[in-house]
Amino acid sequence: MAKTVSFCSKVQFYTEIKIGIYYYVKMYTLGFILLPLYLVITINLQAQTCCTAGAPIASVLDVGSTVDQPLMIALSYEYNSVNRLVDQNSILENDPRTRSGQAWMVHFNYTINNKWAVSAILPWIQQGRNTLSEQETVSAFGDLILLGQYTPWSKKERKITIGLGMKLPSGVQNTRSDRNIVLSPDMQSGSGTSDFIGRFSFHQSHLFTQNLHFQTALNYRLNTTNAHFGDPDRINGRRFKFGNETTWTNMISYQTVVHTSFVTPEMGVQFRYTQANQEQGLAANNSGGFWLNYLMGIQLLFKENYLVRLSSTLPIWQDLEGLQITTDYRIGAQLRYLF
Amino acid sequence: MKFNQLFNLILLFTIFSCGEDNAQSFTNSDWLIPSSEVQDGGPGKDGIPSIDSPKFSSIDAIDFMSADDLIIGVWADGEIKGYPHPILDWHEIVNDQMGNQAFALTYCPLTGTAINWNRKLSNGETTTFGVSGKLYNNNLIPYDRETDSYWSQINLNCVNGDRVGEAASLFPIIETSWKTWKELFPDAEVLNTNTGFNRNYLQYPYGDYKTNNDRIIFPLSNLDNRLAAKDRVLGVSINDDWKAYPLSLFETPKVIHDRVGGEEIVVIGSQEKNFIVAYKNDNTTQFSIDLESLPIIAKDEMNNSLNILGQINNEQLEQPTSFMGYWFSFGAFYPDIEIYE
Repeated sequence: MAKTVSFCSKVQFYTEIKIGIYYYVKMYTLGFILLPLYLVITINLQAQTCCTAGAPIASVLDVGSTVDQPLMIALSYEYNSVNRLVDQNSILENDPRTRSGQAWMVHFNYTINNKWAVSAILPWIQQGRNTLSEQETVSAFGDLILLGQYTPWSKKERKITIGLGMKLPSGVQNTRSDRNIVLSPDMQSGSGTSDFIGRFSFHQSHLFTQNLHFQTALNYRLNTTNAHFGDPDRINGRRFKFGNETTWTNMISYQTVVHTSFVTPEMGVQFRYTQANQEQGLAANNSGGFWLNYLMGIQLLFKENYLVRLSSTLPIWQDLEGLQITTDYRIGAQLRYLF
Repeated sequence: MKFNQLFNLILLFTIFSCGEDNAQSFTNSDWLIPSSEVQDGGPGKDGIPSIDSPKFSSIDAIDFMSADDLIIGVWADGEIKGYPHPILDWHEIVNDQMGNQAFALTYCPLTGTAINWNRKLSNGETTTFGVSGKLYNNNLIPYDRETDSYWSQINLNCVNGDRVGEAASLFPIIETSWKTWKELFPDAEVLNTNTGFNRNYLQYPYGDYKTNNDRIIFPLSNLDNRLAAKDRVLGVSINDDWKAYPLSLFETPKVIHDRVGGEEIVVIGSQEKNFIVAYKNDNTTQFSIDLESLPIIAKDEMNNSLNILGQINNEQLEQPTSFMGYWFSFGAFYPDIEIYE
């Protein structure tokens, strides 16, 4: 089987150990600077959120979703703080709301051969909405994601992967408040729709140096309309559609060795665009827009089979439609086991 | 060995998940309206913040209003104050007081209805109202903070909670354009943008909603096509009878003498001046239009002047239950409403 992406195969692991040791002295200092810096930044962030219904697909798929081992299982956690009130591109103050979205995900990846791989992600979603007078929390299974990936071109250090998938309506879309009212679509764990996912990624290993890697990924989510949101039996129900989403993520990572573990700091930028949601077939006001996010993370590979990844997203600019409460930061952690 | 590790991982994840707060309350509450037709608008309870400490300025200091922007007038004890739509669009409720009159001016941007509620409840307690974040037929559902009961604005009663079934007590209002307001009440104070919240009051938050007849955001229990959805009408109710007076009727300013619910009323309006008001006319006085010197709007047979607040010869005509709004909202709440032709 062709070993395509970086450090995940055992053979490549030991090969890169040697390379890594070569750079060890140079990078030891850098690693010691980056890791504490990363931890300080993430720990000091004030907790808050935003989620669309279902799993936060893009952030899960964006980095490192292609692996070389036949089987990978990962447990992920994401906390999405949605506590930034934005009027187009102006950040406002004094919003009485806070929103949060949390996702715990089991992620399976099976590599069939050097061309094909399949993935499945099953999330457990918790949505939170707090105001001065009410706190509401919803926890339930989210929508199941199935993704097939194909590698049409692979050459030594470069690889192109395309993927197609679906988000299936396994989540809950009719959770009610304590007054027996169906909560809004963004508070549900599922969208109640079957949606489509398209993906293209390019990976370049050993860019300029043995340690530097680059990945660019384009994800597109085509959402469909839930014609009976919250009440499938009602003929004249609420027709709701989440806006289609496009993300373009560019990451660079620098692989180094600290003691006997690979430590890979990573950083990048993400362009995210979502169309407006639709209510009753028409674009909903105050939804959709453009975000520019700064991504930062670190990966730790240890004991050959275990990989821990910490990640964060900080919006650095946005241009939104109207007034919206939007993400002010996202943090995540992932533990992967490679079989 | 690897299967053991896999099992341990799954077990770990299961324990982790079970430790989370899965608490959801599914307590069924009784609603006077179909709960399946009540929508969660998204912002949550008080996510749209009411104004509880309103600040006012003189007309000269108001710089965020354009000539055609609408404004609500509330009066009591010889005082009148203005509440501009561009602020109400963002806050929906203003809890205020004039003299002994404690009131909540409730306004729903989606139905275009402003209604002035008495904050003193039937048990003598004075409450404030907040925005529940729920909607029925696209219309605001305020809640009273005293008992946490939910009220339907256009239904004019409490629909959920301790005070369920209680009718809302109303105070009179008028609605007109900023241009006309300045002619009517040049010395009146107007709610200013010092609301305690940072909002862009120069921007209407709902795009083309005011004029796009196809844009009705949430489902309706009844869509009445006798008029265009966003036609502005004055709805008048007496003894549970409802009648609608479209603003377009008053392209030529006029006085309409009519009966609603078995009682005589007079309806006076001008499309150009952008107002319609209705008052009970128990004496069947014949009025004629006169807009030469606002706030006078009509004269009776004796040439006595009636002003827009319903005052004539030191008498106050009673305003029936009446408020302006988009036609579709009256058609949804009161399918039997008659349209004056």
